[in-house]
Amino acid sequence: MRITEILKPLQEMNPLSSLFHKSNGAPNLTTEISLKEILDFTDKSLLEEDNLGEIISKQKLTNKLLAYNLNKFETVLDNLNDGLIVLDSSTRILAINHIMEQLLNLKRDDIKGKHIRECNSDNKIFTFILENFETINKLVEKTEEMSVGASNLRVSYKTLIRSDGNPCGTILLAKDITSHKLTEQGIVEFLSHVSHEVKTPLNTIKSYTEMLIDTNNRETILEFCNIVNGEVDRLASLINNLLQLSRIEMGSVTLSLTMTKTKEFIENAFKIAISQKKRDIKYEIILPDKISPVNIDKEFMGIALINLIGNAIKYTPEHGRVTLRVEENQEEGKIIIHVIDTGIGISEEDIPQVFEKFYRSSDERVRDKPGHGLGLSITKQIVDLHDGEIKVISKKGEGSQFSIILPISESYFLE
Amino acid sequence: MAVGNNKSHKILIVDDEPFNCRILKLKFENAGYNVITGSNGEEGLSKFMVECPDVVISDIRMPKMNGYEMCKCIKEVSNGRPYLTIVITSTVEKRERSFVNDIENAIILEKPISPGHMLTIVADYLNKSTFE
Repeated sequence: MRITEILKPLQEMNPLSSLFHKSNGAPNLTTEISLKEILDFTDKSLLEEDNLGEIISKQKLTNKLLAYNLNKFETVLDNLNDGLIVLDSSTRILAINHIMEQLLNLKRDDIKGKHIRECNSDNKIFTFILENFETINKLVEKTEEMSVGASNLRVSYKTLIRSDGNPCGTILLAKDITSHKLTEQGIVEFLSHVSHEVKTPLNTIKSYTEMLIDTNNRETILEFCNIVNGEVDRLASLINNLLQLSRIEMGSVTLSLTMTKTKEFIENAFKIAISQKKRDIKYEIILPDKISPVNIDKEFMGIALINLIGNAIKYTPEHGRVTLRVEENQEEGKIIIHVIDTGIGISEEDIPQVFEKFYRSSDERVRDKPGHGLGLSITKQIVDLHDGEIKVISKKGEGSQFSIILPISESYFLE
Repeated sequence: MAVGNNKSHKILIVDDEPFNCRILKLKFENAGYNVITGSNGEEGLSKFMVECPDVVISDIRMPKMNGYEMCKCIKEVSNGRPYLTIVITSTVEKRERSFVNDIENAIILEKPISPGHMLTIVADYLNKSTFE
């Protein structure tokens, strides 16, 4: 048997050995194979026919050790969170991990050992490799962001350097930065919204005060002062909402839950909401004779409920009706607070977005009213913090019903 | 500012914030300009086509059609007729500002704006274009 024949299966089993072949007498391959156990192929005495048995048994042992180490190596690669591919100096694929297989949408067994040009795949990762590969003799270290399928990737290309300083291949790492990008995009959008919401009233304040200087008419002065005053209130309300929202989102809110008499809490919130908006609207509150107490943070749940009632009043035309109806479902252990109005209603396409931050309908009747599109988002987050649920049923032109569903602690069920 | 001289010049103000629309309208009307307004991009575009204004002052964030889309459409329908575009923005984001570079005679002003400053910009442009 020829030595090359013995070596061949070894190389096939561990293709990386072609990268880290012997230099200065010591194997560079980072394995735990005992040197004593591995054949020394430079030993000419092994070529004698008599030693064939020894060669074969040593080869079997070596194969086992290499297979064990290769398996360990691939397990490590497959457990990486990033995609990885290793190529030799002619772009032959030597190793590829599971994540990279998925990113390339290619099977490892189909492409391992092949040159990437032979893989018949025109994906962005291979294109990126080939673009940089022109300069294999140079040391290349390059990072690029690209989208592959639904993923945003940060792909890093690096020339592999042997211990003698020569380039011997390429390693490519692909990190999925989709969630990072979404967060980044979310932050940009949020800042853009905040900037708009802050600067719009500021703009009005600046413009009207500037115009006040040139105005002598008392009625105009009064009107302009009222506009400025209203815009200052709008700014203050925005800042309050933003502070509440950031407290909730940062997780710095600790609810002070107390067993609260539901009837009193709801009646009180209703009174506050009505007193804040003077309108010619019929108000109605329907409560069952007995209601179980709820375990809530009165301050936060009050904000949530007042937001809902305030919205109902805001978007209900004169002579309309706003109803607050409470029901208790003892079987499911829930208290349901409905805020029902006969207002402008919400269109089908707006409904899925009403709880999103800064979302405001393009309906002119909504745009005519002051608002930042934060109230419902805050309300939902407060209800979520209480392990509750918020639901909306609405039809454009016919009114809306927002319902807060709160769990009742089992020990507090009514007898 | 000589009130009578500006009558022939038309200013189109497009903003969904009625307060902002109103104060700019007042400022330019006091200076003798003929002012028309729109509350969204769609309205702004149709008024531009009918009224052929010399100056377009527009907000970016507006319902129905935003200022970015409106300016692009106006550029297409203007057939090379000269006009000044003033875009009022509340954002510092490059993406939302860069489109102004594609429009001839366009400037971007960041909120909060001064109506007096805007009047000076418009007057300078119209004086220059009258003498050219």
